[in-house]
Amino acid sequence: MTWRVPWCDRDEVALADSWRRAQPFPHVVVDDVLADDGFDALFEILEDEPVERYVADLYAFDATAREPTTAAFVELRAELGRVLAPALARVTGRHVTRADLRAYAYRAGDHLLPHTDHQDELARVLAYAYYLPSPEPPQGGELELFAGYASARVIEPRANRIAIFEVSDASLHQVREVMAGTRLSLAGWFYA
Amino acid sequence: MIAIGSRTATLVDGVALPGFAVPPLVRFPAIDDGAYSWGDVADLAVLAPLVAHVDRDDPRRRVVRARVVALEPGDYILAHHDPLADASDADDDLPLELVLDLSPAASPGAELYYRRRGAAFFAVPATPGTLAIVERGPAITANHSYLSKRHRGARVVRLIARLTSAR
Repeated sequence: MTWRVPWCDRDEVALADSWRRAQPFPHVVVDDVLADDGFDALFEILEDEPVERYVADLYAFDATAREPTTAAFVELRAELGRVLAPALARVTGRHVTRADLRAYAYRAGDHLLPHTDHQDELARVLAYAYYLPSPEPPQGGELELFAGYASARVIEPRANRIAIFEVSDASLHQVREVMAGTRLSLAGWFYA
Repeated sequence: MIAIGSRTATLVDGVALPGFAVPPLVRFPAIDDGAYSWGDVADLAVLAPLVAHVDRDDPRRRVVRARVVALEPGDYILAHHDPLADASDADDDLPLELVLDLSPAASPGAELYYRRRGAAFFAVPATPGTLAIVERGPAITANHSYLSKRHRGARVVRLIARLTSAR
């Protein structure tokens, strides 16, 4: 399993411009992240990683633990940072060096209510969600970005798409409730 | 029933409040705290039948504030937000909270959870006529669970009253 930068140098200038202009806060959405032959190896790694149920006032979903348990998942996380952090730094103008990574499954009724990811004690700079192919593609489960408290952008969880946005006190967002099917994703943050 | 985490956490089934009219409701705007409608109860005296359910030895029988909250599908109230909070709460030591479910029908999965330092210790079902009597305090929070949009037409209505000792 090998990550790749899903854009070429020529696209990078346009992508950086898109990042700066994006509303309600800086973000980009990129499709066709992995080549078609990359999924088998990726799912092989994911299948070995334990998944638990997480429910709180803010969320309900299945996910892997904060710290991966298998060597392959640890390497998947490390390589994501090695490959994507330099490219994301060029696009966003933000210094990022490493990523964390968890796998998520949102089933019918699951959700993540409006919140920001900013915490003073953490050095989260960029948040990302990469959507995986699902045997039962989800209805709902969109990533919704808010301008203040008003809905401003709705991003469909399309397979092989990555959504990346700036972490700040202003970056209020949610994962809308999944109404049917299963929303599979890898998500986390890039750190300074 | 006494739940771990609070000296008082009790459910009473089949409680009615005859003559009580839900006040006009307005929408709460801050979605990072909650999505719900609310309205203040002006005449606190009408809540006397609820106070009658408080243990007779408990001195906290004075209703200082009461509010109705209503949740539609997609609504919620997060634990860090207290829909009854008031600046005067700093003077309340360990107030008692009464919650009467006024919903038109039960909504499974739409429980009200009381939490001590984040950990849920007491669940109140969204069942009409259920009265919860719970001691609040600095370490106690509560969240009204997300009401799934898959439950079309569902509506959870709760009357929340806060009681202190008479002064």
